Amino acid sequence: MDIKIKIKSTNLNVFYGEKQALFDINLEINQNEVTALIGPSGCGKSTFIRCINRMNDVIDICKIQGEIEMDGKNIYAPNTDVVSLREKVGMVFQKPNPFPKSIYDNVCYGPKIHGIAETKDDLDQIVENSLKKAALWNEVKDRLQEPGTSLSGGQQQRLCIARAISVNPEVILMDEPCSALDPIATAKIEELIDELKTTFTIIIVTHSMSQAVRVSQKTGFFHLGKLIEVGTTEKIFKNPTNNMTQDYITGRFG
Amino acid sequence: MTDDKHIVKSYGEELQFLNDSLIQMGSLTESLLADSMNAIIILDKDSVARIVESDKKINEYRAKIDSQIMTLLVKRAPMAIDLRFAITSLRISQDFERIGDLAKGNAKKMLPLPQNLPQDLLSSLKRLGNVVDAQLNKSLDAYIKKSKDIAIEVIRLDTSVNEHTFLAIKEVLAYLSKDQKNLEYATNLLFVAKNLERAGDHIRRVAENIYYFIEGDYYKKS
Repeated sequence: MDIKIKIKSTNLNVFYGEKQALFDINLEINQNEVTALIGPSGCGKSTFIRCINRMNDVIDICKIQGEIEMDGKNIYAPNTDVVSLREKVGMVFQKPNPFPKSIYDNVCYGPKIHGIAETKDDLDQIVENSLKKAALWNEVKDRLQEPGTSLSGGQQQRLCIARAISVNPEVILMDEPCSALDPIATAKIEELIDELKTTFTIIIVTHSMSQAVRVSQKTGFFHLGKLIEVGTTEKIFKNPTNNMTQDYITGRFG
Repeated sequence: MTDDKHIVKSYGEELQFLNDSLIQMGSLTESLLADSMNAIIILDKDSVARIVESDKKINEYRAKIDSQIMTLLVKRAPMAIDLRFAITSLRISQDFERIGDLAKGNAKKMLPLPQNLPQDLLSSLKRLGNVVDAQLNKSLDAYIKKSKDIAIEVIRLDTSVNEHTFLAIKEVLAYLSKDQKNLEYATNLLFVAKNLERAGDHIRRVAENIYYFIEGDYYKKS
């Protein structure tokens, strides 16, 4: 299968006020692959993924230079419809954050506000499909009206993934999606990520090296706002080119 | 195994401990090989028991190193150069163990030999033994210094080992052709030459693994 570039950042610089958070990031994200971003806290990996759905727009002091293209179109072009961009780019966060609503309402909220579903039947279908894709359906199908917060941590995270995919996004951003979960829940999410990549393009920020090895095909290492090295996950974890990458992944950093 | 220290001190110590164990095992293997070769040349039949004991020690090292590596893998999930270190150490310890077995085998082959073997024959075996000894010594040097260049020298020495094996076998066949009664002795001596050649192959593999550990890629003949 030919590899298609879904997202491409070119000379991306990000500033929070006076402080520069990202320096000339040039990174290509392949379609239907999982790209892992690793690096110490504060290195800019979360800032980078937040640029992809323009979450940084809501921060007043944040200034962005350079380009991010999705399917060849600059998402920072003046005529970009940010709402439709965020429909295409879903996000899952570190701590599961279901809405204080029922399981059903959590999943149907997006399709409702984006006007994707017209009838109750359509909505039912979307909720079922999304929960199935998120590997949660069998566990919750008989309790859809119970609050989302009544689920376990791992189930809540899968609910958030179901919520993210309910609006048929093309890209899913995951910011340390398993860091608050136990090993079993983590394994389930990792297995799910592997299945989801056939439909979506996934970018995952993780602090777990072994998780990056398990789930991703490509890995980028960030340090102090710079992209130090990017390559196939196999190459990065078996024989990285840059000494800084090697020191970080082998635990010699600092 | 770069010069920089691990953030987790005990992790760095475990890698160092593994490194030291492998050097000790390698030194023991080197002495055993030299010892067994020397025993053959001077037909020191009393040394066999000592050589068998040394080989047991080498086997114990192998088991100890296996266990160290398994602990390292489950405990630390090593990455990149540390992962290559663990994997190549596992392979190198297997090769050392095999070299030990071959040296022990050679010592045993000496038991039925007569005292009056021709000098030419012994000299050619001795030269072969010396080349293999030097090759093993150099491979240990490459390991201790983590030197790619020395590892390549060891790999290249394999050709010399093969040439000397050929010459030694020729001498054994000449000895055999003199008298059919020499058949049993000659067969044993052929095994000695063949075992030394096999030991050379294992040493070459040790060097290839050192190269892989350093470069992250296999050695290709240029």
